Amino acid sequence: MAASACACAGVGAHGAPQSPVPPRDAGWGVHLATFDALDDVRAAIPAPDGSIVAALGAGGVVHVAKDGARRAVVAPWPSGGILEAVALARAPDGRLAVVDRAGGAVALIAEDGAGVASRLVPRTGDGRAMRPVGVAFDGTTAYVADGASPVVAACDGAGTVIRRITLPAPADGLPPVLGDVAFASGALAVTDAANHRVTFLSPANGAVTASRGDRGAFPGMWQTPAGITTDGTWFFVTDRYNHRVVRIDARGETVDQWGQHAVKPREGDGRIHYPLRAVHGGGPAPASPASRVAVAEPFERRVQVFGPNDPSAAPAPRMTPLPSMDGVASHFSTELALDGRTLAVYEPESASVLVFDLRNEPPIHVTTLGGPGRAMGQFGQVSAIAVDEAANRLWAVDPVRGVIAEFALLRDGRAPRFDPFMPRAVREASLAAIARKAAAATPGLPASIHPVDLERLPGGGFVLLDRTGPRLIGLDRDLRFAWCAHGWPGAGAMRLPAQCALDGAARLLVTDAAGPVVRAYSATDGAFLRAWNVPGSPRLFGVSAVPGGVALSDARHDAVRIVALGEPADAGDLATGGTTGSKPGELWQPASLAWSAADARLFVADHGNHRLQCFTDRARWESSFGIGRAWVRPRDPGATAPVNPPARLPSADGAADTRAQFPEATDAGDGWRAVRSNSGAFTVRWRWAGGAVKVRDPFGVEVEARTADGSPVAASLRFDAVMPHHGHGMNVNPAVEDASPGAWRVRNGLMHMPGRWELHFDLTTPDGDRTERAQDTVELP
Amino acid sequence: MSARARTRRPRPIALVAAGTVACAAACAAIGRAPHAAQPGPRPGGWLDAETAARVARNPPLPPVPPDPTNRWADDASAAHLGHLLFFDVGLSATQSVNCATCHAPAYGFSDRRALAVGVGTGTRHSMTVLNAAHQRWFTWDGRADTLWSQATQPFESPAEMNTPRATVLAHVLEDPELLEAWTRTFGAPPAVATPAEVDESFARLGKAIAAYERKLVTGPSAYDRWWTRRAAGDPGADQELTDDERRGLALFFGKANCFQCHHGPNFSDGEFHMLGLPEPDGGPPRDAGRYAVVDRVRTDPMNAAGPHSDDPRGPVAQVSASLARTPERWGEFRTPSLRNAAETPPYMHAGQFASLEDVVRFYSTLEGAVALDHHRESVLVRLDLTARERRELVAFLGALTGTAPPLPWGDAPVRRRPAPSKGARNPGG
Repeated sequence: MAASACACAGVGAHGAPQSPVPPRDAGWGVHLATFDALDDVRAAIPAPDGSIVAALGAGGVVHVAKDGARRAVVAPWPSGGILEAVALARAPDGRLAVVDRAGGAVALIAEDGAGVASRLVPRTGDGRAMRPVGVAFDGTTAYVADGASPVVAACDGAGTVIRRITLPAPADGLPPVLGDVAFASGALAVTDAANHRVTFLSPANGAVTASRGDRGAFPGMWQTPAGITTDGTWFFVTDRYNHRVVRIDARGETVDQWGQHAVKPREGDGRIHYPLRAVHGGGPAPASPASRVAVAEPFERRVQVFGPNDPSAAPAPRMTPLPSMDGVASHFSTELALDGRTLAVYEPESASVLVFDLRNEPPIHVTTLGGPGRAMGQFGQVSAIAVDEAANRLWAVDPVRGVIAEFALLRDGRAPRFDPFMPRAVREASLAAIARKAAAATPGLPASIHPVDLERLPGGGFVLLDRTGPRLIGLDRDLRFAWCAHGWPGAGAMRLPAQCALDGAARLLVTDAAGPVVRAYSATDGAFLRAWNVPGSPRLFGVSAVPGGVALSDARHDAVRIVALGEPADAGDLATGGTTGSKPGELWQPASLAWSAADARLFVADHGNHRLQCFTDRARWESSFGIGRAWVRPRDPGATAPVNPPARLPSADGAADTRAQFPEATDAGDGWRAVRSNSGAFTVRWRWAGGAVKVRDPFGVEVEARTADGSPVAASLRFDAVMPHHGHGMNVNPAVEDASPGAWRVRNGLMHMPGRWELHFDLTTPDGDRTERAQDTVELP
Repeated sequence: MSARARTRRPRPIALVAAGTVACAAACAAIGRAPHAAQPGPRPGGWLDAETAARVARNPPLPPVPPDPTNRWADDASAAHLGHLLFFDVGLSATQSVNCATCHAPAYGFSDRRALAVGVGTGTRHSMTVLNAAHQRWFTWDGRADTLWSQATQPFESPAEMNTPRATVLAHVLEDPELLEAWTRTFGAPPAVATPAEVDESFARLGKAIAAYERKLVTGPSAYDRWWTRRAAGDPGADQELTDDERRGLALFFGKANCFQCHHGPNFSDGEFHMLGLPEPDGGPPRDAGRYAVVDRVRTDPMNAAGPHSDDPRGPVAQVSASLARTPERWGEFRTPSLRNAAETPPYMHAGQFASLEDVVRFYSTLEGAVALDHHRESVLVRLDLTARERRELVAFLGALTGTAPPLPWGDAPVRRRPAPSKGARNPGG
């Protein structure tokens, strides 16, 4: 950012509220250049000579010239000293500021390759480290956005915090999660990925001057706004899951957008796919022809550079019209879990977890958990999943809503098919309660958890893999904090933990994105056991025990590696499968993987190709599937090309029947219905407040909850009614009043369509740490 | 508060459903099997059982339902006053615009324009006022929850009449005929001494206009006559419809699926939907529709829960006070009634389609529909109707045209002395 050349002309003096919008120009978004093969790129800053400087996570910082020639500005970790380079900005003295998120610092470097010159290490008010996600400069003041708490810290040149600016949560919203920060003309702009907002604040007193956004794709809406940058006049927001960059003014009004959401894998030339961050560089703007915005797309391992339209050209309307496709295609993320014949995978764009039944080939998508929202059973974002088929439970860790959500499946013993009524949200445990205990055990670390994986233990407990620290956090079977391990010395020190899995010897194996290492820890207390090098795989992700070995996903080289973890310090190579590409059997940034003993297959989240692929325990490709067309290895050994699996009717053989776990509601007389909570811990009685309810008529409900011994349940009630097969709830927010302990009255509900509605009675303990659901079903004619 | 405020809920669809359910319950109570004679055409001939059942739920309009939020809703004096106000250009800043400028009797109480033109040009197409009393929400985005509350909005809207409420009420005070009608209705001249009194008088102005608008109901259409005769078992019922109209009816309630949203006696579910309609200039979608007004409805002092409502705790108020603004509301617009649609081109919220043929072609091909991302399934499914089927559907829509509202309501009132005007702009007279 050209903070030294003040680009305030006509916009208002420093510190003053924003004046009216500058006149429109000819538009933005001309595609100028593409820089490929930048694995794990998180951000890039463009220069007037057509080059870029790119931050590559643990891979350091590189300068890429216009002709593609590369030179290291900061060597990869550990030699370069930056653990996780996630953002870049130009400091006022011309040096490059690199945000080291896992390192808790902003490093200032000279571009001549002399390495890190100095570091800003701001601390929070209670002396904890920050998790910086972005930095912006106003003269010598650096504004550092904290990804662990909704605070922007204003620091001086030495990194001392001179002021803290807190982003308030919106009414009825979630605690904000900051994505990035930008500063121009007296206004601080931050993105809030939890509430899908862009907010402008006064840096002097933190007063909000404008705040806009909601989750969606229309003008003024966002889907996880990640980065924000400015040319001094306009602000450019990286709208991650809308696959676009949106230009807004200082009031948050949309000016235009560009991106042309890429539809085919690796499609480029101005088409954008999951942009993470855009950074402005080049001329000081607003109309400098050298003004540039570089958009980093880690999903495509590339950076694309865009510029303003030619001012003499007529402005063209910018939108991203797409051919609508029949049905929803899969967009699986990196998270996958399976147990027995039940597989679950997260889809960030729909904020839902898809559940597959593996008893069919290809596996059948049988139901969907969640969907975007703030209520129990909905997701802000899922960062880890676990499955226990025998217990009929699935867990999803949601750091945005701040819960670990526990689900069950209501299966009816029939052949697998899609059933939107299958999910049962059982209970939710607050992550904040776990974080408080972990924070007390680890003073100095950020107060919030950054969970990246969850492993279910045979005894019924869990281990949470936490990037904060990093730490291992043990949970009991009730999802309560049990123990915490952190700060292992020497070879035991994990840096950027990616995934964890139990091996055959009950050790917890942990992969690390900061180097080719797998480490083993005790699953009962987190003690470090030993480590192995995995030469040739500098960026590991998924891990899973397979018969006679361990499977790892090599996210750098698009491969699945089967290794032996024995006595030698180096892991022994057993097999390697997969190559870079998008055809069946090829991989692009493979992520989480899991071995299914029941199926004798290794399931790999082929994240960059939006699908799941199956390999043998020696990495031979077997099949691929998603939502859509599936491919299998042909049976004829002489055939080479993958084929579609033969059509086969799903069979009811071996189908689970869990209906007995969820007894239906019973008639309790006088209009009351009684139903046990999904966990069985209490019983809810409910009835309509004013007689039978008709579609579109407002209604009230009387609700009571009792434990098994008849005592009233001390809790607050949230009532909701949804149509799972339509994917929507009510258009109103009913009001809930406490009537007496364990009794409530709901007013102003309204079911606006005929059909089948699910009623949710969600009870939350007084300390807010636990919520449990009871539910019933009504049919409205 | 009058006894009217305690009447049962004024929801025509619910009344019909209640009647149907009550009939079946009564039959069951006396030991008879619920007979196929739900009121309505029986299956047989060119109507299969499923389609016949749907048609049965779409009878002619019942009487206008009561409006407990407006104690003068059915008051004759109020209707007379509202009739005068509706056609009085003196209520606008330019002395040339009245309600009838955009809601002209000769044009089906619409205006034949894509975008309304009052004092300035608006952003939406003028909806018809015909049968408005049967609706649940008012205006394309439903920013008014009662008929009388909607009637107050155009006065102060810059593009519509651009007149502050105090000026509107001053005009009433200055015009002897209006003042007389007002006093006869409300018992005293409009009170304007304080802002609170001005607001209450302004609300009453809206209530009088609403009382008039409740008179604007259409008479039976060809469809209504057919429905009634068929329900009575009249073998000649089909003569009320042409062959094309009958086939269009079967499509409407059958494979074309129009009934999904256009059902009930008023051919509207009263709800809001996002169809992906293109913007008039072809640019990116800009009109947020329902999403932009939900918060306003909840807090509007003129809403059914507010201080000027005569039923502030009734069912309409309850809903308005608890509306939720969710992202799914973006771009949603109200399902309009299809009654008399053939009289009120162009169509859709910005008049995007010039003719019913264009409307039916859009639903059939979805050409030009806006899809902002491929992850969201559209509410609509491409129908791929043949040209003949599209023609038949349009013909059926014409069969929904009912007779004009009775005089004197259906036209401008006869004034004792013409109101001063700079030239009325009433299309068609």
